[in-house]
Amino acid sequence: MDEKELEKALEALLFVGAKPLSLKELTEILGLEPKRIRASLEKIRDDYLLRDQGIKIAEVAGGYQMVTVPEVAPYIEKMKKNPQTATLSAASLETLAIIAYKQPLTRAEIENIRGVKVEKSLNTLLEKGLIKEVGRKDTIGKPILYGTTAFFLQYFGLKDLQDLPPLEEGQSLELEPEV
Amino acid sequence: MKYQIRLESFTGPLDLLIHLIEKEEIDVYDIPVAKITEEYISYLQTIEELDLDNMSEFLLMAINLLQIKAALLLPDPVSENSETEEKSGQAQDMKQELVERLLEYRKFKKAAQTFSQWESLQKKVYHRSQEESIEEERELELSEVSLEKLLSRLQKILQKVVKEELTQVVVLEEFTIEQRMEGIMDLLKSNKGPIKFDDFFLQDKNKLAVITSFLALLELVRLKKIKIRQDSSFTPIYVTTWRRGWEEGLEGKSDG
Repeated sequence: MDEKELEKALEALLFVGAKPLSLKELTEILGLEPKRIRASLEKIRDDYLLRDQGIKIAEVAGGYQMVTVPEVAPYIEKMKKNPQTATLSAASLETLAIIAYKQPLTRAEIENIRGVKVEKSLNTLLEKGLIKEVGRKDTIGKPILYGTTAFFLQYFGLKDLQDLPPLEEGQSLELEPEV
Repeated sequence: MKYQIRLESFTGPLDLLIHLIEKEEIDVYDIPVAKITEEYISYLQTIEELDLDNMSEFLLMAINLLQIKAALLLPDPVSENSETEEKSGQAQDMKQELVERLLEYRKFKKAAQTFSQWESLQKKVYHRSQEESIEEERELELSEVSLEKLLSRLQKILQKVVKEELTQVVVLEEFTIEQRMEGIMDLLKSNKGPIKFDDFFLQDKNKLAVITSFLALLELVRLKKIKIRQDSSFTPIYVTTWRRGWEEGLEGKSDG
């Protein structure tokens, strides 16, 4: 398979593939060196960018996926019956952020940080498939541990969990005397 | 001072505290507890509709603030009394604890804001899988119905049976899980398509029968003879044969 052929095959696979295709999957399909495939993918991605197309190759959830560029969204929304406009509530986003950074953790641990009950937002996040049960903590009552899903990465356009920016750390605390 | 914002606009008492602190441009490390407590309570007083469910956590924080405020007022600088010094230390500890909670919470509040920005950005990004490949997605999602969901479904079916049990004379028809498993497989094979989860319980007139059917279904899932699927949270749960198991079954038949 020469370079051009590989590029064409990859482009076609990305076009037909519904979910993000991982390098591993592509390697298995094409039977070529992952290194070569990655290089080819990067070339296709750059070509799309250079040509300023309506579609780009995004690296999400541990794979590659053809997605539309944001500026064409208004037209797609007009075409679609159910545009994806609903957003998560601030409470759900807080719960999700805590899970994303501290996973796996229990409901009580999340509630401890947020200072409120989180059952409702946990259910929303579970229903949307953004989080899942990942096991049970080895303490009294064996509480459920929660973690994020691959869909979470896709939802926010993240490559992997390492893609999360570091939390802004609080500096060491020096208490000023009360006036 | 009156606030026009409603309680719902805050995700919790810590969120409200952060709002007050930022509004007053106070350093989180140096919270004037008395002032903030006053503001916090006066804010709670502006809320007209008392939603006790959400209020309790906000009130708990008010009490916490008042405790710290009171403890901080206690120490007498003239007295060298060790007890009061201890009290003052305790007050500082309580304040420190609150500051630490606020700082910890604020990290995630900021992260949540970043998530929100990503979300609105990603909402403008479309890919084919959302519509063109619904079939494929369904295949992925359907095989994952949690046991919890099945149990809650079972509970509903049981409730119905129990209600009917009270109004009917029930002839106890006992059958084993194995028999029920065979019955389920026969039904699925003759139907050649998915069958609603609830439909497997139609003939079950008592609790024991329902539970036998349920266990038979679970056993068949374990043996990979069937799949239990659901499109989305509010659609019916379906049962189908596990494709490979089905094909193997056919092969077995043709061999014999």
